[in-house]
Amino acid sequence: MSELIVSYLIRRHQGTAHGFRVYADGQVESYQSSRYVKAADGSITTESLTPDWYPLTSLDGSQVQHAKRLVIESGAPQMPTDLNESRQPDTSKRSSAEWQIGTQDGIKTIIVPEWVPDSPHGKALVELESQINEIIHAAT
Amino acid sequence: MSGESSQTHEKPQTQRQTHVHGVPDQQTTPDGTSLESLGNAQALQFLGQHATGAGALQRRAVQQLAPILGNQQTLQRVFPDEAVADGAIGEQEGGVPIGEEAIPAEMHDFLARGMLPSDKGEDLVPSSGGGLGGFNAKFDPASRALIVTVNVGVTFVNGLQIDSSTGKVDPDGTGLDLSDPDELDSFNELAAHAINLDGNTALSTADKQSIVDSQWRWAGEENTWMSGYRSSVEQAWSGQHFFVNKEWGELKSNVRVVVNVHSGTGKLDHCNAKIVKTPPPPLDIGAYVQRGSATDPNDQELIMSSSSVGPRPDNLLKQKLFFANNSASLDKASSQPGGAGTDGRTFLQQYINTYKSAAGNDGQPIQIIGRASSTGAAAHNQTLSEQRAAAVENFLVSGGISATNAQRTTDSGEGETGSGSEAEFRRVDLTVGDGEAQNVGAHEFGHMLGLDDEYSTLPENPADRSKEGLISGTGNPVGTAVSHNDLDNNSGQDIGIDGAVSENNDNIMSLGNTVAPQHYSVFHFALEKVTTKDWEYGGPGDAPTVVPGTAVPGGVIT
Repeated sequence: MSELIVSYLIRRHQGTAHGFRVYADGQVESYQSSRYVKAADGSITTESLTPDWYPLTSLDGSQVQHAKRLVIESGAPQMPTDLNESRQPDTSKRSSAEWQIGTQDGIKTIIVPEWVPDSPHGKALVELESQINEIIHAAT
Repeated sequence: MSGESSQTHEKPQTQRQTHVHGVPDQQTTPDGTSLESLGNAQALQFLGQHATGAGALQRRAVQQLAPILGNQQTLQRVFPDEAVADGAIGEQEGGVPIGEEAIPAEMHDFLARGMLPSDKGEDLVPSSGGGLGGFNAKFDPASRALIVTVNVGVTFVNGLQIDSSTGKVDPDGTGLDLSDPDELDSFNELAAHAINLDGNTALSTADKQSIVDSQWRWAGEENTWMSGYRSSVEQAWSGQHFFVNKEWGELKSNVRVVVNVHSGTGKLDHCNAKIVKTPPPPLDIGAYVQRGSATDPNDQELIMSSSSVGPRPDNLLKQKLFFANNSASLDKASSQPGGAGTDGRTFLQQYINTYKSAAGNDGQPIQIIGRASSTGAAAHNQTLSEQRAAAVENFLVSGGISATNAQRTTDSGEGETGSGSEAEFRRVDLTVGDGEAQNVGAHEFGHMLGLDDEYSTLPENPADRSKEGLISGTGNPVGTAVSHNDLDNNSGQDIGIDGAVSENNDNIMSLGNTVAPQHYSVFHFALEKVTTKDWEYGGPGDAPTVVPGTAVPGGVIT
């Protein structure tokens, strides 16, 4: 398995979750619990999957470097590993998040019990989520 | 309001010595008091409780007609051959005449004031909602009902879009405020769905176009959606409980919820709703209400998937545990068929963590039904299914699913009934409470009224999964008081209404659809506010009424 650059997984309280993983070799995995499938008769349905990481696409070298820079610029490598910042959450929006960042010392995990934290750290991570999504989206 | 003195009518209670005519002289109370000496209300109460001198039909009529017709008319109807209409009833030694409906004069005056506080009603924000809640309330004396109106302006938001020339799928989200971190997060979730659909190499551009157009974009069904939302919310919240006036027990109030939902936004809206077109979970973006100020009734926002109206497909009151072939051993059980997912004992510990009752509560019933696949003899499979259910029940009970109620769980086996040969049929089904899947739209409406969540979650614990729950995220621990625990801040004096705590059960602010008495705390608050009277919890449903002509055993109420 290639070195991990960044991974995020956001779980809503209902149990649904989404997220992506980007590796140094450009491989991207998506966390999914269902997907669209086309039947032999041409109809399209959704198929349940065991919730897990599934291969999605590949980034080229410049996109990988871009992802690395964004992670550093977000300040995530310096963030606390337990981002337990109090906030008054929106109702039913209560979610938790788990971020993983590849560092020189290994993989750093940031647990965010209450996503999105109403703090500079929280805003930086949700921005990073948007930026990582854009890079992956460009590759699909 | 209870415990406070804020009544507008402060007339002293008048001693009433109304004579009851037409009731057989031989009727006496157990202590020997003649009914002749009782007041109307006392006499009717006695007749309603005792068979002496009155047939079962008369007794029932008294019980049900008195609250709606008043004492005098009830006596006239129940004892039509007696001299109750001779004018003797209605006179009162205290000098205050009894009105036509034989109700207290002060109550008559109160009801004669018309709609309270005015025809326009009053916009309210529950003080304990932390910025949640905003609605209009008024008391209608004619229908004896609190009318709660919520104006909802809807912005219809498309979930995804597709470039027909390139086939590229993108998030749409036009209407979401991307400067708001939570709405940006919802947009990011749309982006994740777009990326997954974009990266699905098994689908053609035409397939993706079809999916986006049919499932992720509004296409003329907006009015149908609004109609369905309105009816489901009004049905969920109206008429679930009633209140009784503390001063006049004859006066009861039902609750009617009116949802004025329209496209666009307006100054009088209590909530701006951004309804994002999505398929059902897990391809949705969930639903949430954004808190406003603690004083402005018109500043809430609802962000919700269009698929959130109606029963959610991932029913959180129902869970399954799967077993190995021809085995009832928890050591070989798992959360997914064929040994996949979480191991059986960890799953059941997570189940206990999730559904254990709050301290002092018995907890809602948990039904445990064992099943077996069709492989093998039917008699053996029946025994196997019962063994599976018993193993699960033993684990839950010994693990403390309820500290106070040993009878909370019931187990049974269905054998191979309805089963095929696949691994998915080797399982135990666990159902909490009524097991009815939540209507998320109705749950969110509870927030729009000012109620907080009652469900409970545990944080993730990768080091020890047995300390996690089955519902992720960070809610409050089981048993924690929620913000509408004592909405009037009167030290929990509102019996039957106060005392809401976090617990995973079939209540609508938890995981199900049941509107419990504590959820009517906002209506209790509103009723006391607009009437400036003290009210208490009356019971479930609407206040009991029987329309004359209703068939009863042995005859018809006349």
